Amino acid sequence: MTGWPTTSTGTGTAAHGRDSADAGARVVGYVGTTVPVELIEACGLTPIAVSPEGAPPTGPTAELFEEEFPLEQRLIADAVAHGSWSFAECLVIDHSHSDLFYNLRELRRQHIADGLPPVIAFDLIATAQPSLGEFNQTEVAHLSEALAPLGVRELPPEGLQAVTECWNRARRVVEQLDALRRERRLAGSGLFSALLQWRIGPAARVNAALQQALERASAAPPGSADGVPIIVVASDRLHTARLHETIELAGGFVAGEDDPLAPQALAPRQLGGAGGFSALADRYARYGATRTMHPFGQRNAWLLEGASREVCGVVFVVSGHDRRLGWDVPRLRAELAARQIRSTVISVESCDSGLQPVQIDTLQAELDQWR
Amino acid sequence: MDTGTTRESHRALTQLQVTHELREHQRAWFAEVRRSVIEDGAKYVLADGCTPHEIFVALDLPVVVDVWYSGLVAARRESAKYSQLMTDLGYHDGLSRYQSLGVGVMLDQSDAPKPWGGLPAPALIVGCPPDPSQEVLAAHFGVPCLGVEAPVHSRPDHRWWEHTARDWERGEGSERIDMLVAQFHDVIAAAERIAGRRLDIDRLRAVMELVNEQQEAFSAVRRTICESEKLPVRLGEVLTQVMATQWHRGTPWAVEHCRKFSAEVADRAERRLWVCPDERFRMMYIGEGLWQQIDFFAEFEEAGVVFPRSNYLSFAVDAYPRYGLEDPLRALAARYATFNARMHLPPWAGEWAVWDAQKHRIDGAILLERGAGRNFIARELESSGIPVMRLPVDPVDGRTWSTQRIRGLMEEFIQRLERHAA
Repeated sequence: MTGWPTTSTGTGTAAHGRDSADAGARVVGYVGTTVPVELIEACGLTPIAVSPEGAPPTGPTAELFEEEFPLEQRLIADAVAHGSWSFAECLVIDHSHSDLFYNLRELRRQHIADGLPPVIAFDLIATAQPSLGEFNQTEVAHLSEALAPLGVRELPPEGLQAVTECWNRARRVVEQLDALRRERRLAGSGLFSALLQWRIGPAARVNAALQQALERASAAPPGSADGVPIIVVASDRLHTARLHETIELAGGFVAGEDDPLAPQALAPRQLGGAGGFSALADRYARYGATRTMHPFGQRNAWLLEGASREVCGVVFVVSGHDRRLGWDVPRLRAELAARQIRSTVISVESCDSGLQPVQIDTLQAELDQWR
Repeated sequence: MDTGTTRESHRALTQLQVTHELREHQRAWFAEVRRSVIEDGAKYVLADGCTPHEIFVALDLPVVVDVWYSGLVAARRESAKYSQLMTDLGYHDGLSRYQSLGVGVMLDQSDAPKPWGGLPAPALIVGCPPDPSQEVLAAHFGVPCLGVEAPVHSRPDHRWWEHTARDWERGEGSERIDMLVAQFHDVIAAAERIAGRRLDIDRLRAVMELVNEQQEAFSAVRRTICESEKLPVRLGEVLTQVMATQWHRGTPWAVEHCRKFSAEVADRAERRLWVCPDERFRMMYIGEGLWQQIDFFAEFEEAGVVFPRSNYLSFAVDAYPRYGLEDPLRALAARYATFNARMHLPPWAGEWAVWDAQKHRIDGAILLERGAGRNFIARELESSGIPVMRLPVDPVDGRTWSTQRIRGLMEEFIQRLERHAA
């Protein structure tokens, strides 16, 4: 396997986690978009998203994680199995990564990967179905119970409220950054590079990083980021800004992206800290953006509405590891075409590797027609 | 691509009377479902194999299973055509065809006759978990698509096959059962809207009892296979029997037919009618039904190779039964709470495969190279002294089959088994 970028902005987060642990923090690694960072931090722990590292899988993960696992998950498994997260108190893995959870748990049980921290399943289901509300709330309570012994303090209600407020400030900054992108003061790659900071808690650090990006972008004049405005829908969740960067090289301006780190996933849904577990469960159930959960209407509505408002077209980027988005592409393209919105499909080895030079040229020619 | 054996040779390999009867039943049943939907406006549910069909059966709603229809397309040697058609329509080759050949059939705009006439428009599509190909069909037919999520099992229950039939509340965990029951209420509400009447819980209990009786008949078949001196029934026929009847579970017909199946296998064993009198190597097959090449399992009998074991029969025996039906909906939820994971994922699937291999006196395993979890299964088998051969094909996509290549792999594997035996 080749093609995984090692130099682009925002690759693996393990080094940040190790630095935090060395500085005395108790780090919890998490996998998935429905893990409530507020809760982890409120327990006195530092939440850091586990992300793929640069090397292709080797050893037990290469042997035991089949190609059915998305590349992202195989790379994550490889990193944690090789001890890159041995400093973490535990790894919290969400429902959409349940196969990963089962395999990692087995690696530990069979002592195949000794550097692997304990793994905890967080089974909140990302759906607004009322029938699952009680279950989701219980799952948050269970996570709290599991984390409490690892943290530096018991979880008082006001602790969750204070931490939630801090993350909410970060969510508001994300909204502001997105507004600056709409004014073309900030390129899509710049915005996404800033959003990648979301993965590395605590909230105070995230806030500081986003504020810096906000100040830089605010200083730029409106319209300074040019290009043909498009929305990007990638089959894999992104851990680098390489895709944005290479689309910009083709003359595109990424005005929106379908990704769990995108503004529409992070920003607008601010829960009140006083709501406690119930509000936390509700937020992540409704807005823990993921492509693997039913129903998919929320994402589709966002795409169709956004595409008809502010862009010249939609670029679907489908990796060789895709098992999901490909089912939607023909239908979404037909729906876009019915609204006279143009779209194109680009096949890549890995979305985080971005476009290859020949693909940049091809896209450039297409965007020239869209302009 | 290679089409392998012919329909005539497939018929010649059929040894059981119940297989002929099953074919006729399936054809007539599906034709009647189509007719009633098209002519009378009757309703039916299109579902995957892991959804609670029992609810629909209790409401007298027919269920057509998408993997069954994919298997039908493959068995008719039309999977390559429809797989390629899907590719041409933009559904890339990395997307699984196992559950989704119906998409290719329904999106085919040509005048060519569709397998058994094609799928009529369902009233509801259900998946557990929902498969994205189901969304495509739901959009095509303009009908709702309902998803059920199974909860993660945080505490692995080893040797699950020994206790889950009766001690299911403890084995699955009450909270997990509650969670599925809550979702089943959504399924029931959707099904009741279609059926136009309320679910009778006593009827559901009766359906559950019939499902248990059906699996007991399967259990008798497995016992005969395991305890007989040699193999009395071909795996291709076992797969066909188990899958087709499982999709009718909860009906009196399915129980009756499975009892006939069991009796016929027992009769063959009693009369010492062996599949291969010169049996040398007993193989287990692990993976989804190889519907595109079901006769593969009979192709090496001249070399003394037989296939006594697949996931399907054993899973029917070990994973389906649920006794203690005071609250049939909880028992139903307990059936599906860890359903697929037990067949495919660690720690359940590997431990179970080793135990079942020993029960069947297995010499070697053929593992379909598809699906998460298979490498842990292979590891468990190999470490228990059971050699494993990987079968690098898709179970339904005829484009992936090469008789020459598969023969070569099998010949090598048989040589390995000979060395292992020596």
